[in-house]
Amino acid sequence: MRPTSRLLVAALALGTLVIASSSEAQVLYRRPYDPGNGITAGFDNNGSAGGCADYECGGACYDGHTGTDFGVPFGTPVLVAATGTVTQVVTGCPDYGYYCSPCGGLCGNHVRVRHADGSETLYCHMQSGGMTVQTGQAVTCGQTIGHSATSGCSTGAHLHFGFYPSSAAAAEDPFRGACGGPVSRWTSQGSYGSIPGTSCACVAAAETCNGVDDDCDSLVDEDDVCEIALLNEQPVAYAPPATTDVDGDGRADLCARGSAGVACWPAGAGSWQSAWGPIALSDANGWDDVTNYATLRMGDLDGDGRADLCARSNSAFECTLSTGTGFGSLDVWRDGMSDANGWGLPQYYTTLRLADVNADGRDDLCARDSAGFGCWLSNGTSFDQRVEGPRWSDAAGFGSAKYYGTLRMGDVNGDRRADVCIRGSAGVDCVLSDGSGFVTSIGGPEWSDAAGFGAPSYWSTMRLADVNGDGRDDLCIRTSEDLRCALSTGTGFEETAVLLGMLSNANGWADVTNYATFRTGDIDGDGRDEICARGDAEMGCWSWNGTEGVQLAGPAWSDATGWGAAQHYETIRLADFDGDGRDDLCARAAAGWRCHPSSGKAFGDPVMLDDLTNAGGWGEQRYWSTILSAGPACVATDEVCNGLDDDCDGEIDEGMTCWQTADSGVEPEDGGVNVPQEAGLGPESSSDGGCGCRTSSSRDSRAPALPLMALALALVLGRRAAASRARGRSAGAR
Amino acid sequence: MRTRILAPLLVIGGAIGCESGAAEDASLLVQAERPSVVPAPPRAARPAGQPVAFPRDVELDRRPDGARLTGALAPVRPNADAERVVVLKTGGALPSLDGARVLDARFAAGGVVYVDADHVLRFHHASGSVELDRGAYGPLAVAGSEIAYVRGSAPRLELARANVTTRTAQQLTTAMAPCWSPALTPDGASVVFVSAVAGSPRLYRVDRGGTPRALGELGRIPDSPVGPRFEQGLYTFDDQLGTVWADLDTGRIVRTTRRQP
Repeated sequence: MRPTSRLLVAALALGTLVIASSSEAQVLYRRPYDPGNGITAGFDNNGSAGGCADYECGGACYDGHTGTDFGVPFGTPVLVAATGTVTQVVTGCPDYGYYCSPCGGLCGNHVRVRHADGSETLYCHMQSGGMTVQTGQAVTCGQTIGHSATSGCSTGAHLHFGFYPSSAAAAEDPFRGACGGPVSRWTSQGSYGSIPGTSCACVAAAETCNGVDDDCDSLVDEDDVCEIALLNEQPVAYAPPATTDVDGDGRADLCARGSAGVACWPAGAGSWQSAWGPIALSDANGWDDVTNYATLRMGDLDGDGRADLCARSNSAFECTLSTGTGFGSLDVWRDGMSDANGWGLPQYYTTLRLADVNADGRDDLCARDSAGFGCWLSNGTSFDQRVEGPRWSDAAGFGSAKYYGTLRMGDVNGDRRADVCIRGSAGVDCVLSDGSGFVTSIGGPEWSDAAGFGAPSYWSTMRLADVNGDGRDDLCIRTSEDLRCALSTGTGFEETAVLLGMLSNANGWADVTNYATFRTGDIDGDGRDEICARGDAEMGCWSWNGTEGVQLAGPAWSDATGWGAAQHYETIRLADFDGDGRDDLCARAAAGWRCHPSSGKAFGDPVMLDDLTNAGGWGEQRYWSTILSAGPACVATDEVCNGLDDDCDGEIDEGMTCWQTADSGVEPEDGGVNVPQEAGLGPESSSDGGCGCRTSSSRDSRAPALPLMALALALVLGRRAAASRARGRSAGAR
Repeated sequence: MRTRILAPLLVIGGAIGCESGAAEDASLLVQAERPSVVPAPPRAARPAGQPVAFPRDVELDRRPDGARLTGALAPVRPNADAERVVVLKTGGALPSLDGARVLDARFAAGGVVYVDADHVLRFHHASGSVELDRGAYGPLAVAGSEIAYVRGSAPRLELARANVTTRTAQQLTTAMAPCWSPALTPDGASVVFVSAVAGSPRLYRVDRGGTPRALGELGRIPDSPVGPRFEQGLYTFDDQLGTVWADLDTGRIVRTTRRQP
């Protein structure tokens, strides 16, 4: 770690974050009556705003309602929802109240009960003569406490059920939902519109991320179930492919796993071509298991410039190579990554990455196991040679999702080798690859648990992206106040630069439908990565100009038009599908895949693919979460005098290659030592080459070339940016 | 993304002037003429889902000069417990209040005091409006510039009073909830109200600066949305059976009328 005063201030500021505990023991309630009568008016969750919002933000409620009305007939036995002690019994109101009788404080004849966790429940509008309990009496769950009526302020027989977290607290909605409580207070809530169950006891089931104590251990959503669910939804957030250009034509293609297997749609000129595949990663073959389909990865395994495809089966890590027109056989590239060896656990399978750690042009396989992080180098046909990485082991605490879920790979020091970063309890640690190992730790920002970064709305947004275009990936993360990046120097990270203050909690960005959509890519082709994310009304991309984020408006992918659903917002991708050097904005709508081409200043009309539709079944996570589209990556070839970064090292026609080429008549190898001739006495230039390349055979030509050189320089500078971007991609996944 | 906006505490309009003679406002006198217009209580037999509609306006208050506060009741869900919200009509007395959604409204001290649908107690005058309290519930009782009401979160409602001239509010009881149906004595010095803190409803009286004391049992208690009042020295209220006139000094019911079904 390299603490700086500014980082410290930021950490201290974030230290004020309050992270709600999700593990508080709570009493759960049964339905307070036996018949199957439904809800006539739900709790109003929108506070003092006009209208009302029930627990799923619907309108099955009325303005200002502080309880849930169940439409039980007159005389129905009212049952206490959980064991407790009666704290108040009010009788004496007429069983048939006025609209709106104030008797009983509007509640008519009523009973209030306190439960073991301090919560209280209220039962209103009952019969005066039907009460069966008195104040101070102990009651057990399901015991009859009275009978329903319509006393007090009531428009007909019903039971008003009120829930209070404590005696002094205001009423809250016992139902969990988008607008309701964060957790359900029912033993069984049921689906939206249905009524809670009648069981007093919790029925144990596997814990899932649903705000309910499924396994009846008094803990809600424990064991990282929500964090793992988020990771399974968005592999591209932490393991983005460097390229999906399966045919090597310089355009980012589209691949995804459907029920029949993986298909790829090559991008054409303004359209999509016929699908390749399917590769038999089908449901029928068992690939609908999240421990398998969430490991779908793409990268260039053999260095041929075409994206290949891999995934973890129950027994091994298997890959198939692109032939340029299709895929070859699915073969085992790394044995032993089996369920039996523990690779079916999320703390391991979600860490699988394809990244070029030795800069040989072939993406290697990396992952974290119980002992720590490491890689296996690709030899073009398998992952064989082991490269050890940092010991980020389970024993050291990295088996927690808030840590292993932040494992990121990218080129932090600009040497074309993929480095690796992870967030620990005290902050971020980055370790550099030297091609044969990860040995140099350069530390990272102090984005610690103590500062609040252990919350998913922060740690899951950590990204490696080259936001200043210096060829080194920087570290970015969302905080409660903004989205900020720490710039890489190659040997460490500079002070955090605040990029986007508008992406704060106060502006609503703690909502997963927004913070889960952070994507990075070079929208304008200037060599600097932009940051894109979805607000409630539209997509936005922001470019950092050194002092502030400059916004570029995106498509109106709004909540109102359905983009608040994970099946859509989690499919947002940045990929150069038209091969113009600028990343485009793509995502899956209900009607299929669409890409809005970037002009650098705006996004154009979408190019549609009539596939990946809801009608075709792509609304299921096992399909939409596998959608991959990225790149294309730089394809390394020998550097020649053409104004391009042919060898993907971030330099264009480096070493003044062109001069010596002209003199020797032999193309020197990339990086060769070349001595320029006297300034102003250069050879003729090729406008195509974009540099001072001499295409003429006349060695004696001394024609003034300054104008041409100026033109060439302009072209070089313009293309250097694109090359730099491509180099970043070639260095591996981010 | 839901941007949370904290509702600011607003005082609408300017300050209210302390008019001379406000305490002698004639609104006290009109209480005796306040009609008992109570919609018939909906019964359990109402078909599920059919809205409970109220075809005619209700009258909330009337001044001796004929000015009336009336309003339309919006349809409500059956078999539920929505409060009685009235869309106010002032008959030209205070046009800026027309259309306000209120739980109760009364003429007071040359203006109108009302509880809006968000339970904010306000006093509206020709020159502006001022917030007196929050968490207020009707029915309101008025005596000159004095207002009595209950406040809190239903059913935990305690007795309170406010003064529209001094713009002060004060809670008069603690731990007596549920309280309802306050009535101010004609001189504004005392409040008679109902509390069920003991388990069943009973009348209490609290004098200015004093503590609540239980009154004798009448056998009937006010439970109408129209508040109790004093008529010619008699405590008068409506319940499910009709209207009751009682002498609180003797603890006896003097007269009753039966409510028409």
